[in-house]
Amino acid sequence: MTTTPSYPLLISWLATLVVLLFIASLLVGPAGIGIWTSLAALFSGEEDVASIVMQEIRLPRAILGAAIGATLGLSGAALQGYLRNPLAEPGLLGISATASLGAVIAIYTGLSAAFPLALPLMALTGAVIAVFLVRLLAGGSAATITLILAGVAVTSFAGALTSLVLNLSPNPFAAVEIVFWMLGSLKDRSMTHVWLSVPFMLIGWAMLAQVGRALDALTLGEAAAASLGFRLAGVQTLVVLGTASSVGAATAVAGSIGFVGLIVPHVLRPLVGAHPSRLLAASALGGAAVVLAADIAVRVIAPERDLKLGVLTALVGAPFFLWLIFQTRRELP
Amino acid sequence: MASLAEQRLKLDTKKEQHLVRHLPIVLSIAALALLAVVPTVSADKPQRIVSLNLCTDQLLMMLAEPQRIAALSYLAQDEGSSVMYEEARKFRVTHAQAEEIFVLEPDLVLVGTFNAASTVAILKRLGKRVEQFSPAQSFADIRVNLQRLGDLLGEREKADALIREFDLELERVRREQLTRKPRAAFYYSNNYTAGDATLANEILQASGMRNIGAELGLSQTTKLPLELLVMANPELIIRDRDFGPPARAQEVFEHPALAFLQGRSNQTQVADKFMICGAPFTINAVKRLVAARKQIERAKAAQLEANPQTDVVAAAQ
Repeated sequence: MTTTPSYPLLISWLATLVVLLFIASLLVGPAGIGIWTSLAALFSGEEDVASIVMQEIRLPRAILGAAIGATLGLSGAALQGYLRNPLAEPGLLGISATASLGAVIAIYTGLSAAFPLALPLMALTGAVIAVFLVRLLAGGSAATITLILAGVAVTSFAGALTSLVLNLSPNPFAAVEIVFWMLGSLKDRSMTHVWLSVPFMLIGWAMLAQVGRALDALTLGEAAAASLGFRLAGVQTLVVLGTASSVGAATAVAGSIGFVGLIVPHVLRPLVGAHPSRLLAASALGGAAVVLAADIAVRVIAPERDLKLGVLTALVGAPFFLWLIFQTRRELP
Repeated sequence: MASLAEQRLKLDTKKEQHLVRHLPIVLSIAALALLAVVPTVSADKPQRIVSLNLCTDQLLMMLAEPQRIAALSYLAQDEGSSVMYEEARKFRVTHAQAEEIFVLEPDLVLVGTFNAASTVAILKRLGKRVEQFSPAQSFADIRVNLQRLGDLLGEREKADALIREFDLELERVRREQLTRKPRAAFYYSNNYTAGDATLANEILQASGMRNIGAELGLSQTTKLPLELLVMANPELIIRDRDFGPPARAQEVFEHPALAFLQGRSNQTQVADKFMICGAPFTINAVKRLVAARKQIERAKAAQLEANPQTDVVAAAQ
């Protein structure tokens, strides 16, 4: 048995990793600007082409990569803790798919062109509907099988409606853009997208950060948590709205990126000693690192092809998911 | 489909039997008819022509009399894609389904490289004469396609006249070129640009400008990352048409980095219908770009007059 590292050490190690990947993300791109020129251009007040590339193209990409990764990791950890279900994750529960649907309706009907905030707000609404639908379909039980089945149903229904909206658009490009909404990408995002989405993600993080103690208590069961003084209805509201706000905003600007919220909490759980509250911060940092790394990889592997982020996360995530199902099955009586 | 073909075969055989019975009379009438008609109508001139491709649609309308055109493709009537959309409204259109083409009884079917291979195969199997045209990627291709279609239709003189006119106009445009060649880039939806070996590239060069896509070593119509476009710092950005309702494909045009470029360079839109298909009307795209180039030169001259010092900086760049 290996000894678990101390919690502050783990957090500082993960934070260092995120900072390094953030800088690396700023330095990767087809323009091939040198390292020192890039960093100087990042802080330069002059309007030359290099500083435009750094400040308007690469910086928003790196910020969004870190913020979206943190959102996915954090919401995965919160959902797994709250539902006490190892397979809970925004992508698998249909939250990302319905948020995509909301965003697609906002963009392709022209609503977000008239009123920019409609984009994150519609995605957020989609995400809230998904969480309630899944709870409704799965009943109060939160048993693995019903929850996943409900997630599958919601995901495919939202996917079908997304495809319908895109196919009905008279724009000849719309129909093929389903790929972006299903697999996600950070290509050509701008500071406009950062301002539209990051505030909603921050609100979501603040909500999810408050449920840590309650999640610790919930490991003893709902009755025990209630007897310890936690109002479960309040906890549920925080988890639902926190997840919807952060995942909704993330999906609205980058499409749905799968499996990050599933893998990251699982990998980190043994390292934090099975405290759901400690897992939250660690998973947020871990998620940021994973998405930043994936976004660097898509630019290194196929610089001019716009390879989708979800392709990479699924290549790693799907086998892991299968292994997880296998483990869960073995643990069943 | 098969039953339809069988029916037609049966009909043909009946006609043949009928002809054989009255062969002597038919022959003598035919001989008389030949004597009378030979100077005006040649027997192998196709009379019911169907075109399934936007580019052959337009060349066909230029070369053939309207009564010889049985149908065009539906795109020929689309204002955004077709230069001759108004004229095309006079004709029947198809959606390139083998069935709808077959019942038109064409004696010549014109297709492009991108028509479904299965449709082309069925039409050939049913005994239709199918001629395939590849899209023009240069001015030379325009001449070749025009001449070939002219030969097929028996309208070679008309084709040659159109080519002469096109070459004259091109020569006139080329004569007024200046020594300085501004650097321009095509930037289309989904980050596409036109590199070397494209009609757009030749149009741009004919207008007296340099194509950044070709200078970056790109070939064909291919993706150009926004970063590289910004670094190339073009003097002119040429966009394609607006496709109307919003889609992510056009989101790049609202990117702040592109807005910055547009602040310091010119931007022009050349309706891509003049460049999708190579035809005599392609000269309009050249003229449009020449006008844009002259505007750049005027702006530059005005800037120099107002502020002579910037000249040094501009020259250093």
